[in-house]
Amino acid sequence: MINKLISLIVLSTFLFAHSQTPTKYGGAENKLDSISTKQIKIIPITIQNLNKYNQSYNIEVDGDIVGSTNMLISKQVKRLKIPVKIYKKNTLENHSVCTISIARSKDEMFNTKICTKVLLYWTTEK
Amino acid sequence: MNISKVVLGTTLLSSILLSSAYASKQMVFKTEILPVCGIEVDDAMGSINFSDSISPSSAAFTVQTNHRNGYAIVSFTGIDTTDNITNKDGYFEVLDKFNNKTPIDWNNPQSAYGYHNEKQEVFAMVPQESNTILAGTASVTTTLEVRCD
Repeated sequence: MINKLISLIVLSTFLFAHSQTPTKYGGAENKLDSISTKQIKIIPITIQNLNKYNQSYNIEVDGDIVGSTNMLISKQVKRLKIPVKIYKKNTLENHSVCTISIARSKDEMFNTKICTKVLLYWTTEK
Repeated sequence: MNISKVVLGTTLLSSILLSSAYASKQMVFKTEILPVCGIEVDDAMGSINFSDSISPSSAAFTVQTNHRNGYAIVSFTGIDTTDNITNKDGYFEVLDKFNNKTPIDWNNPQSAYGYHNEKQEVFAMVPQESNTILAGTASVTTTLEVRCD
C-alpha cells in the first residue's frame, strides 16, 4: 500500500529573491521616456540580488532571452541598459524587459522572473 | 506727518525684503521614488500532495512592491513536470492570508494576486492516489513571474 514514491519537489531549503525597478517605463505618466527618435531605445533597468548567495540572471526582451548578467554577489545592485527594438513608426508599442533567475540546480522548484512594462513610440518628427 | 509716512514706508519695505530674504533661504529636498517589484521565495521545500497524502506540505512566496495598489500579478510559467505526473490533472493551490485558495492548473495556468509583504503558500497537488503513480522521483518546477505595473 505504501508506495516507495519519492515525491520531494525541492531539495533546496534556502530563501531566494530578487527585485527590479522600474516596473513601468514610459506611458501616460512619463511620456518623454516613451519617445524615441531611433528604432532602438535603451531602457535602464536596475536589479538587485536579494539572496544570501551569488546569483546570475537571464535578460529577456519581448519573450526572447537576449543575454545574461554576470554573477551578482549577495545584495549587489546592477544597473543594466537594455536595447529594445521598436517595430513600427508613429505607433505606441508595448514591450517587456524581464530578468529571470538562473537555477543553480535542476532541483529548484521555482525560478523568479520580474518584468518591466515598456511603452515606446518611435517618432519621425524632429 | 511726512516723517510718519517715511517710517511706515521704510518698515514695510524692510518687512518685504526680510520676508523675501527668508524665502530665498528655503531648502527643498526632493527624490523620485521609483516603483520596485520583488519576490522572495521562502519555505522552498515542499512535497507533491496526492489524494492520499496525510500531511500536505507547501512552499511559499512573498511579493515585495511599493506600488500604491499594494499587489502584483504572479504568473506560473514554464511549468515542467516529470513523466510520472504528466497529464495527471496536477495543479498548484495558492493560499492567501484570508485562506482563499486559487487553483493554478498545470496545463492551463492562470495568474494569481500576490500582496505586498504577505506570505502566500503554494501546494503542489496531484488528485490521484500515490500508488497509481509510477515509482521514482516526481517533481514539478515553474517560473514565478511577477508584474507590479
